[in-house]
Amino acid sequence: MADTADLREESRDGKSTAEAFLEVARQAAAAGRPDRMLAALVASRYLDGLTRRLENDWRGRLPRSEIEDCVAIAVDGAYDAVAHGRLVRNLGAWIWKVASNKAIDRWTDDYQLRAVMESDTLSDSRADPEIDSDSAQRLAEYRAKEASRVARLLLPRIGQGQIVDVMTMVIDAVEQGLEDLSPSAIGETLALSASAVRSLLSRGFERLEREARREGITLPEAVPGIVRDDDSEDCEEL
Amino acid sequence: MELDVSSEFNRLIAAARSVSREVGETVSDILKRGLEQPLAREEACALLTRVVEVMREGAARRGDVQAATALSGDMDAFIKSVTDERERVGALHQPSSARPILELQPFNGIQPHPVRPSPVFHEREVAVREGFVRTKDIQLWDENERLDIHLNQFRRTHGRGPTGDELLDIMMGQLPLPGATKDQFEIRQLAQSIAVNGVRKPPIIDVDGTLLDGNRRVTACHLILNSEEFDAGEKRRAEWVQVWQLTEHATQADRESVIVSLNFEPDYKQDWPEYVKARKVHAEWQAMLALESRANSVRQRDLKRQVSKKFALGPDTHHVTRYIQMVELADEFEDYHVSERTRDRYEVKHKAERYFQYFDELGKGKGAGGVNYSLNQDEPFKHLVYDLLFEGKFSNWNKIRDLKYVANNEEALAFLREARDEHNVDRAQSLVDDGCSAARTARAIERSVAGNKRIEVFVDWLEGAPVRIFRPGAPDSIRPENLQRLYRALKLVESYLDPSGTNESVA
Repeated sequence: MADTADLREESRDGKSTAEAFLEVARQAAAAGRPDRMLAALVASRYLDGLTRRLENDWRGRLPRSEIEDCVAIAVDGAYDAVAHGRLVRNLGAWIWKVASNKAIDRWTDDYQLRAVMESDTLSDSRADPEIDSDSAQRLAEYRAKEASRVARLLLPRIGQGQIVDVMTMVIDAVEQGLEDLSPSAIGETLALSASAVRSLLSRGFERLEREARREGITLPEAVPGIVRDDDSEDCEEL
Repeated sequence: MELDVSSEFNRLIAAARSVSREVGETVSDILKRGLEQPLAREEACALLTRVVEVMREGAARRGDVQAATALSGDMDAFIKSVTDERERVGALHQPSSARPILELQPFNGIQPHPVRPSPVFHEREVAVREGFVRTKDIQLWDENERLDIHLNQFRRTHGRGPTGDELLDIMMGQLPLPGATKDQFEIRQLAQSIAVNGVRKPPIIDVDGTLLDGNRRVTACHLILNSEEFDAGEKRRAEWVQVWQLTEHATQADRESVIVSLNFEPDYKQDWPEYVKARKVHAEWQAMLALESRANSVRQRDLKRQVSKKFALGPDTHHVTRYIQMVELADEFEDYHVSERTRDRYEVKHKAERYFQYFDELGKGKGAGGVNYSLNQDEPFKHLVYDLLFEGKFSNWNKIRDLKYVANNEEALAFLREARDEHNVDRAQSLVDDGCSAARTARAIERSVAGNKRIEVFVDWLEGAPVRIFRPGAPDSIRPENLQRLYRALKLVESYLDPSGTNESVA
């Protein structure tokens, strides 16, 4: 993680200039003004920093044009979310999460495609030409709902009280299409400290995955080349 | 589990981890990178172009009309303005060096004092002190975005930035810069308001006296001080300015909050509609006339000047005269619709307010052949126009100017009558457009056809006319204003003649 001491020094008694512009951007989006949102985002230099960060994280794996696409899609998604009243507390965090997830998706798709080409065979999991896109969409939605239903069924097995409340809130957020619900935001809602929420999340995910394995759900295969360097900053050791 | 939901379950867990991940440090890192390693201008333009493209596609896909409209303008111009702003804001991030302090002064018994509670700029309480400073001690902000083009133009021409006085001249439009319009920042109008009311909203200055907000107000004060147009009392009002000043403890973030708040966030102030302002002026004028019902034209001009000054409309009476005339026509419009068309009074007033600017055009051309003259010569025609105006059937105010040609053209009048009866406003507007075009075309033909015959008939009449009709006061004499018109016309003819004495070369 890069040193942010200078920024914090400037804003030790409040928000920095750049953060202030991010907030202006969020308010502009809430007012349905994408042009003003963009002007404030650009003025904050957030898009500069985001592009640099993604370039650094994905050097040699995603070309610049793909990075720009990820940024553009993230900004559009953030505008849509704020303008339509979704809970977006931190616009920068929202954009970062969407952009970095898009980058992962693009790399993953690319990796799968290369894997297929190298094996010179078509995977069974790829689209069946017999199934039209509408049917595929319905099937995907059904599977997503089923996954949420399974997760909710497993929640009582991971514990009681706060841990279930926290995990329920996170699964609700995913179902509602939220991209960012930080531990501090969860803590504010459930009257818990951010550090307590982080602990509960860490424990909750671990137990949920354990219960899922018991039900025969297989763990994800790691895609070579993806480094999620900020995973470690959030999950405390228990 | 019968259904294999592993892949979806894995996606759910990945999404849940992503959603709940704390990324505050990452966001700070991104902001820091943005300031330390900004994209080159070309890179930033390319990125922004892609973002705007994607946002336009997204807005269209979602059917978000508001967003699509906001992004529908000229993309190049938008990207240029946004990237210019980015560079300006980048410069504002530079740390401030040690600076001299401009001390606030007491004035009229008011001592400098802290403002309590501290004002909030963009969600941030910023401590400020209130007091007075001399106008001449305030430094205009030479990084004001308003001046960006002017300053770059000046630097290109002179190879340096402008001095304080030159900056003032630029703001007042007194420094000739190609392409810049005179008084672009409307300083003169603001000065007239300040001369009457003083500076009502305190400008905000930094500890060293640099303006953070209020460039136009301070420039207007300079104009008052340096112009003979303003009297001693008005100059006194502009000599000292009440300001808010940041304290020496202000951080860069405080300065930025002030600038962000006052330049990026709308204040939702909306000026009174011109209809309302004109009505106030008209009421004042009527009250003055009631006290001096026998005021002659010279006295009336003086009264109008007083009204103009009272409403900060400037030293001449042009605005007052215009407002009075517009209100009188609007009254006539309202009376017609309320009494003859039995419409609701307030519905009519809303229409009069909405189309108030049209009354300016309807009042022009009082002489023969003008719009106002044509309306007053033909009551049914005037009512036809008022009906069309009420229904919003003029596509724009330019059409009003063509009415002087329509008045005497039966074909064009037929179009306008059809427009009055047409319920679809778009079709009615097209009919009015067609009528105006027909009248204009007929007028052009009328002006260019049979010129020789007309001149022959007129000259024969003129040369045979008895001398007595040119003597003032005689029965059937030519009116002086018509003689003047004839004289002007003959001078025009003289300019068309070839100096050699023949008219062979006359086009």
